[in-house]
Amino acid sequence: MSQVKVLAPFSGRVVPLDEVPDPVFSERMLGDGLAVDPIEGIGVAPVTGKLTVFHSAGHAFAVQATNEVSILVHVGLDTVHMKGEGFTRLAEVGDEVRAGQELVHFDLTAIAEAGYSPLSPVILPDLPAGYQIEKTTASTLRAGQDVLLTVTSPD
Amino acid sequence: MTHHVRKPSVQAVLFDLDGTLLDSFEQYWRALVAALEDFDFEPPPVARLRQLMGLPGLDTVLTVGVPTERAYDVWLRWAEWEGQLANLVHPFPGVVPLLERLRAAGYRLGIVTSRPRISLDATPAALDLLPHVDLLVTRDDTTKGKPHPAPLLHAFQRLGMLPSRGVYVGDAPFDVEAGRRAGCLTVLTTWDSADHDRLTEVEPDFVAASPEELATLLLD
Repeated sequence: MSQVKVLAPFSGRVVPLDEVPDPVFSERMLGDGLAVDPIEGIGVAPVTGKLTVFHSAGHAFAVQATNEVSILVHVGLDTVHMKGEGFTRLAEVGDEVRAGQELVHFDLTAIAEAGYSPLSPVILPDLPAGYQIEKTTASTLRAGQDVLLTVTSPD
Repeated sequence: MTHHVRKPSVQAVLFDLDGTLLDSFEQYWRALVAALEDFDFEPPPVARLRQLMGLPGLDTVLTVGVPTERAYDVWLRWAEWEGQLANLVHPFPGVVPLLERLRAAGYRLGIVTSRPRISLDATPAALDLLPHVDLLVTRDDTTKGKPHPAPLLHAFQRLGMLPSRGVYVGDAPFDVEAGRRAGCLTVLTTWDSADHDRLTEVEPDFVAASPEELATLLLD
């Protein structure tokens, strides 16, 4: 049995996926997890591992923690349409990153002015059956410091 | 299987949902093809997609030839299309008559699924099944999911019944494991699977290749 501690990639308020107004996330189509409503425009690596996805628009990245556990972070909703405007990527696909390392800076005001929600889902896509996800009960978390999700492999 | 479940010791039949009662292959492949076409990629033959079903989503997108830098967009679009095409999910043939026959024979029936309730609400075929059962347990009802026995134990508790009075019917090894750990009989269904050998390694109490075979097992 092994555990992966997934740190909050953003500082902010914790929001259940049910309250995210996008069915891809609220219906857990990609996987289960939690969302964060960021209070500042800094996104950090939630775990130590390999950066496997970093969208050219900067609004989505994934870090592979183990062979089975990958964490997908989506910054805001529908922010792909901003085409990278207001997003600064600080790492590249293939990079080995450390938990807490800054990966993206983004402009919360620009997201708000473009009319998009800043709610940022943090999910565990394609988690194999049998893995358990424990979600934090805290209401606010600090980026790179507090644990958002704890993933436990089957025993 | 040569022997039958002994009535009247068994009084409740609980079912896994996806791949057991509901067939989502058409939703899966049509949504993937739509997403690939949206990004001008050539969709593979449907038979090939049948083999890929069950593979992690991002791996599937890469396997069918989408380059890494576009894979996330296609994957996300695929999930969006699956939401749009939720009406293509339907019960496997024979499933609804099976539920009706079991209920007429006096069994208490339930669905125990790993999906959250909000996901069921978005799937018409799932809602259509609910009038045919007495009980629904979703991912929202217990902190631990299958193969942990908690969802099944929760179901038996709500039925006011010992797990030894029940059967759990599912298509995945983890369904069998959850059932065994909960202390009920287990039936592995193989009507949604091509890989029977790998599946039966988990040693369920019974194997059913069709809803009719399951009816025979429980009713004769």
